[in-house]
Amino acid sequence: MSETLVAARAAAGPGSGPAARQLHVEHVMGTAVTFDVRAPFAAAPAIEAACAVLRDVDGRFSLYRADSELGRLAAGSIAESDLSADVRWVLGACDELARTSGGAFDARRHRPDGIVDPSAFVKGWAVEEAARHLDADGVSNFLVIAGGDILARGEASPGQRWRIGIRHPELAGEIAAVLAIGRGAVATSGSYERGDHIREPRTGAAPGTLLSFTVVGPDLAWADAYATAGFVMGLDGLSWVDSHPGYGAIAITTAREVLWTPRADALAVHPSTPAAALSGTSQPVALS
Amino acid sequence: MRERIAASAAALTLAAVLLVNFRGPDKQALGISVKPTSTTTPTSTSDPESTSSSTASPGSTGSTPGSTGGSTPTASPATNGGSTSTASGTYSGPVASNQYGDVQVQVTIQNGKIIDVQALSLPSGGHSGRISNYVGPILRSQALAAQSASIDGVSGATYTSEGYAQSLQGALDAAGL
Repeated sequence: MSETLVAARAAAGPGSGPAARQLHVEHVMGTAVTFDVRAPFAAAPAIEAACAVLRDVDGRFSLYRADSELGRLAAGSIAESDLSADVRWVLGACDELARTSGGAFDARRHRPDGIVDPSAFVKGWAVEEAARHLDADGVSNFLVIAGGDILARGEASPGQRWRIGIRHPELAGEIAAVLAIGRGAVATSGSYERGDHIREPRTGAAPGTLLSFTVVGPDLAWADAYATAGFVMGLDGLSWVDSHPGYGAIAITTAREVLWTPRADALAVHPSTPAAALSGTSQPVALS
Repeated sequence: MRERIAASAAALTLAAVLLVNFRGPDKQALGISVKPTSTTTPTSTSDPESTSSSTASPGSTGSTPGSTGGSTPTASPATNGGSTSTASGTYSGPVASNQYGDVQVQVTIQNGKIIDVQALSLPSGGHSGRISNYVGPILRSQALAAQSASIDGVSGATYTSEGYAQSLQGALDAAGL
């Protein structure tokens, strides 16, 4: 379901005003996926190829489609060994995550009905695969924002990192934190958009310690899964994510505090910190 | 809750780490703050590795004890040293009341890292004693507050295709379309 493909908006003069953006919004995988490309812009076929990847992954992995591979696996009409190589690879990756997370992320156990559901890994993985089509087309500066999970390449404008807002968990129109990143990924788990859909695989309970858990790191597939696991783990998720080289985390607690691991903090743009200084000493937080 | 968070780096860090693993009877995190007591023994070291993860950031502003009540994180334990200063010592927090009851904790810091957290008192039903084996990264903590900033994208919990139009990302895109 392709919505729009919009030509670049005229840029203001150099160094002033917003950079010209090429925007495309694709409704797929049950959410909206935004492609935000900065010069050099993408040819329409490259965007379309990227979207085709997302539709293909949706067609094979969606549990809302009875004829998808995972839909058939859930129905018992296909054996796991007969799944396509991609699906088996994803399930293998999820099994590894189940091990390394001590069961906090477990695609085979987190649903009460026992249906295998790797969607917390699949979306990020699909976006990574889709982005390859833009990479291959010479598109070097873009964001792909898939329902709140973000893949970034290059920069927003010459010399400017992408500024990624972390949604305020209680105020839908506000942000609670800002990260400045180059190539990388940001993924957030929380229960505020779709209710308590994330279950603690080991107990079946909804996690209660956090309002949201954000992971920043090099790859969106893993960042997405780590965010889900971290949200389940609660505050333990911070040190768990920190144990993965290149990944950092931001937890927002039910006590209304925002906790940053050092790697996330190094990318943070704090309110009292000049934008140019992307890390530094902690500052008291101005209160509203 | 928000009003009580206005503290220096080290105190914020203490408050952050004290949240770790600290769960009440219904497994909710407890909002705990701490300030150093007279048992504090700040030390200064020249450990070069400590500078990047020091809890006691240079320039921390120190304490305003008693200014806003016992549950306010008010002090940093060791902030008077040079650029390699790190904190060591044992710190007892105030008795902090929250919706789950009264809580008091004690944290032990060695060379800028939390090495132990003990509960001195807990709401009825809680478990006393060691409440965290957390010796991981030093965290920054700040109060949750809405920010205004120019951003390129919004990361948040997954919105549905229908929810997109009402989302901040949807608004951001609409502004660019």
